[in-house]
Amino acid sequence: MFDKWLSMLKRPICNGDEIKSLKKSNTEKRIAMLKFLMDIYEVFVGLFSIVYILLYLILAIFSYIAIKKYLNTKNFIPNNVLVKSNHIPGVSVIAPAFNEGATVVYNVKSLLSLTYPKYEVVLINDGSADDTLEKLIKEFELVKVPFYYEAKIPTGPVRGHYKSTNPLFSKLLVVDKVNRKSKADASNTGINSTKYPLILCTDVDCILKNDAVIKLAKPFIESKKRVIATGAGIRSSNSCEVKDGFLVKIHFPKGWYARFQELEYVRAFLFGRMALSQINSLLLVSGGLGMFDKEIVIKAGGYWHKSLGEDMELVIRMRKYMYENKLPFLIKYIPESLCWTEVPETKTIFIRQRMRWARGLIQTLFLHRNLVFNPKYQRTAFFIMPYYIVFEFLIPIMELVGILTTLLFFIFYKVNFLFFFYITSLVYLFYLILTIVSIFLDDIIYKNYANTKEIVILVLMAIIEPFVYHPVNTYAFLKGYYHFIKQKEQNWGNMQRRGFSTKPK
Amino acid sequence: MDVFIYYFILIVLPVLICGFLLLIAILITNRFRYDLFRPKWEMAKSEIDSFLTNMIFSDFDEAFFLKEIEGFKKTIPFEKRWCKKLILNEIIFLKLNLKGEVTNTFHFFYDHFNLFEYTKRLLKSQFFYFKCLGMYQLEALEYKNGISYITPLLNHKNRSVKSSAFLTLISLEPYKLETLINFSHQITIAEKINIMDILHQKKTKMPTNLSQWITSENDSIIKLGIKLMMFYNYTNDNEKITELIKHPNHTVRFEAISAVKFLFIYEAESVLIEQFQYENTQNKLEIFNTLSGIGMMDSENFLAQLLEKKTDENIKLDAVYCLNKINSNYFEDHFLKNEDVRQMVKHVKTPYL
Repeated sequence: MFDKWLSMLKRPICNGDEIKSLKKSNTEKRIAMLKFLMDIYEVFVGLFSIVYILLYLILAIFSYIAIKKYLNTKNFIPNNVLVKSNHIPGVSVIAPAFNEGATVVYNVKSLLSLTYPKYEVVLINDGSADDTLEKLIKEFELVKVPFYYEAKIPTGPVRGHYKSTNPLFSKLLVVDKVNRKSKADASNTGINSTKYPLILCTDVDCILKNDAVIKLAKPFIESKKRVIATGAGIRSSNSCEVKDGFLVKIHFPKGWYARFQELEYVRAFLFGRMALSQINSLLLVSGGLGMFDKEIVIKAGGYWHKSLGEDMELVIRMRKYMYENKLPFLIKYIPESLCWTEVPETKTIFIRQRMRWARGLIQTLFLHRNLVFNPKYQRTAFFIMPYYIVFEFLIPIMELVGILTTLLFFIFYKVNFLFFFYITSLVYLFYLILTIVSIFLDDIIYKNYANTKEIVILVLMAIIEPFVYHPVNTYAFLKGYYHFIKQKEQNWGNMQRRGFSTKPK
Repeated sequence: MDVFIYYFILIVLPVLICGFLLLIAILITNRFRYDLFRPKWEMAKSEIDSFLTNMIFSDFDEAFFLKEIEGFKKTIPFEKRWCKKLILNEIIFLKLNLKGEVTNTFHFFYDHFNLFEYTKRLLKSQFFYFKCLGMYQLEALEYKNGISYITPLLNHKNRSVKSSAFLTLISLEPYKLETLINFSHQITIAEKINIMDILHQKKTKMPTNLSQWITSENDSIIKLGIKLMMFYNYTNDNEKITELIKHPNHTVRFEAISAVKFLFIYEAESVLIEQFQYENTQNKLEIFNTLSGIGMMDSENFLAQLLEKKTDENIKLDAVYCLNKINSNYFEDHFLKNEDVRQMVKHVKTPYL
């Protein structure tokens, strides 16, 4: 071996022809290597796509089972029996508000009129710079009370607690706190001020269905295993008719972005989350509407105030706590839309929101990376976390790599365009079928849309979604990842709510 | 590989295209049919509503009612299953929302619209949820003639059917409540809520074997037994209830602690105080709740000691609540220099909190 190297070193310098042939062979080697890499990539993408498709098919079956099970058993305890019962757990509704002066009074009235026999509304004024607190004090006849505040979860300073002198609003507790640029911190302050064992976390601008509390609390009452969290579908309220904080009529959203998000929500809630609920693998209960077992939330440490995806982060910590203490648990999802919220209508706000989601996702997965393949955390370690890493976090990156390699293939190789077309069509059709099935299920069960025209529009939106909406979403996610890696300052941003088209009185 | 891909594309792609087109066709057709059907449904509903309301508030005359029903059947698409379902739902809705003599005619309508046949079909269905739905209809309408169809379902292998059968049966024949003691399964909270609702609704007589319930080997029967004792104000077994404060199951202990307050079992005060240190937080809070109702000097001393000690912060506020309820003047001359307790006292004494 050594002799060979020595002879190579002693070799005379090459002449021109030799250099040419060397260059040629080097180029050939490089091409061969590139081809080899491309082959590996091709096999990887092929396998990835097959796994992806199979997984979603399996999830579709689970979703169907979960929805059927829910519909078959939902009348076991009729809501009217629950409403009259003394044997149900109390619920504290927590709603943080920041500069919501324009709508806060209506929103609180809406929250105060929910149907549930034992509940309170804890509104947290998160250091609003506008007249949110003044309006609340005036409208609900609030006075400052010497509330004994125990910071079971550490939070920012609390300025005071307010209760109404009017018995009509006795369910309302307003907590005034210093703003720490974190919704999580505001929610934690609310949790510390609650008195009931179940907490319902929502946003003050969310409109809840009248029986939302009953439906979310039901799994806590019915299940034999301990339920630690429940969630339900969220819809866009952008074009809905709202009067004094109450949803009067549901309308299909008018803006393009709102419509695409409507489609996305239907698919995500009816397909993804219901399937994951069926196999107790939910890692995300939306911040807009989620009910939690307060004891476990406190033991898990509450929301992490530096998190940008605090809802997912909390659920992971709750799961961790349950595993570490060997306590069997369930996290359930309800296949019904119980909450309407305003979704971003412009591209800029939409991108900002998705960037935050992306940063939240990467931050949370990175923070809890030690869970992956750790036998202590059972299915969270071997299925849920890998699922989120591969099929949630990696997808935008895979898409970017896919576009780049496709371009490279087009430039440097003879591409079999027909094959390329077939494969792309296959993936596209698979996506379309999943989406159409979601719309179908939604329409069969809930009839949320007014007429056939709206269904047709939704189908058309589904057809163009991969070309119009999805690239923007992917771009926002990639930008979010980039910002996370660059450690750019985290900011909740401002949703700039348009408000609702209020029905004339 | 290429051959595999070739056939994959040849088969899978056309299947997906057909599937997609078929789905769209079904989705749109289905919705379109619904849009056409909706006005018919609404019209039928409105007619059924006005017919039932008119009839219910008219004086009962069998011949006249029969004639009206037969005539009405011709004005609506009565043979359609959705229409029967609609009539039945409307009857149930009215039955649940009206009180008094007017409700006596509901069984007449139920019989003469042949709706019992519809319910029987549900009860005989092979799907458990249809069986449960059928039983719900009988329960809501208080239709005792259906009991013979429910009894066989008491031994059904499906837990939900068995449970629904039992609930329907005790709703229709309240004296059957006594047989609950033989229920071998653990009774869920949902079932308990349903049973308590039936008792409230029907004003059922107390089961004669209630004393045996709280000695059952099934913990859930003990818990339900304690609840029933509270419901019926049954004070003959106070000693047994006091003994249950030391039951190995913490959920049974919880019920027993609640019952002590509800039934004013003053003798249990010392047992509660003694048991306090062994309990979980939920039961500790319930002990405070109970002591606030039955506690006297011993409780006062016990709570004062707790507040002086380094007690879990989570329960201190409840201890103050309890002590304040036992003796509202207590804090006027105690804990005057303990700032933490003073703040809790302020909280407790604020009327709006």
